[in-house]
Amino acid sequence: MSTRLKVFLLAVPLVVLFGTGVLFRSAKEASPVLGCVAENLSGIAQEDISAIFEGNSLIAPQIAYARTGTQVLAAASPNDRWIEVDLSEQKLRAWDGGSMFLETAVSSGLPGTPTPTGEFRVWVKLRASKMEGGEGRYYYYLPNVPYVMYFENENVPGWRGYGLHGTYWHNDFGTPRSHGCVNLPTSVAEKLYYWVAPALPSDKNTVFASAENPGTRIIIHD
Amino acid sequence: MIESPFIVFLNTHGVILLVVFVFIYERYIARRKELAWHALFSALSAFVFSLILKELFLVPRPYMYGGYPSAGLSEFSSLPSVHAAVAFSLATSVTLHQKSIGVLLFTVAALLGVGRVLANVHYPLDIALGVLIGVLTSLIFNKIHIKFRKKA
Repeated sequence: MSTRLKVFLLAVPLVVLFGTGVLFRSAKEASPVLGCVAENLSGIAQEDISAIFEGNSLIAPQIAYARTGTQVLAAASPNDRWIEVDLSEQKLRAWDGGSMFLETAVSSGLPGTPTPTGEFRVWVKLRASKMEGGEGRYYYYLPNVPYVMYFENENVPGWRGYGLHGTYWHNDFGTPRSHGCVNLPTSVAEKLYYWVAPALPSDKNTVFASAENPGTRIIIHD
Repeated sequence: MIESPFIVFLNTHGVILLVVFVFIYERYIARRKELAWHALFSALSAFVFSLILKELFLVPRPYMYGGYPSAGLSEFSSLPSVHAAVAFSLATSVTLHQKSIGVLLFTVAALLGVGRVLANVHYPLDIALGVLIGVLTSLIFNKIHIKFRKKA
């Protein structure tokens, strides 16, 4: 075999690897990153209560269906309400004008699956939702995720699935843990859920924001 | 997992020391000029090629999905492992000329590859591709140089 042929044969795998890389990069740039997308927006309880998170099986409690709370009315205008999420402190603060409604430790997205930053508005509120995603060791299947508040802005459209929600599968609030959403302790998520606009009619499981009934402003920063 | 600062340092920067050491030893102490330059050039090209591939694949490192890394960090993505590519190209170049030291270097390179996985900064597949890149660049360099020498 000539040397030239040998060199050629040795170089083939490297060229193939390079080509695969180019394809990977193009595919990645063409497909946007998703957060924790809901399976549907019905907000209705799932019968299936077996959840999987980071390789562990657990029970998904049907927390959000008790219909305990009623909407907390705004002290001033609903437009004065806003939520601040500080990613470096892993804290969420809900402000009603100048006074703080609540403050809590949260778990935002891991470095590999970051939470987007910017100014957002809640576009839909669900009592609960099924979320499924991740790969391999990090596959998750979580029915009945309670008190889901999805937010969006012009750069991060709603279908990419970023939101605030309660958490029954871990308790590590204060450290990043999620696939992009902001994980809240479930009791805090419940309080926030009945505070955030748009208000949920008592007989409904889901409510969309509209021009007359706009969603609460959420500001996420580092 | 491995928290000793010395191990963390070796796991992160040891490969640079390895390249420098092998080059100086072969070039100035053992005076095998050809081997020294083969090793250096194939290590460099393995380095550049795997960096380009990292930019193409953009796979997040394992610690970004949970757990903590126990090695120095860089902003580059995971696939393939530059460390494995450089260490294995060095080991292959040396083995082609001098088996005994080559075997030793292969052992060191394999340890480094395992260390990178244990430190939570690489997946096993990254290491495997790094090994492939390292071995192939060395073999190509060797073949090209033989051809070049025949002509000269």
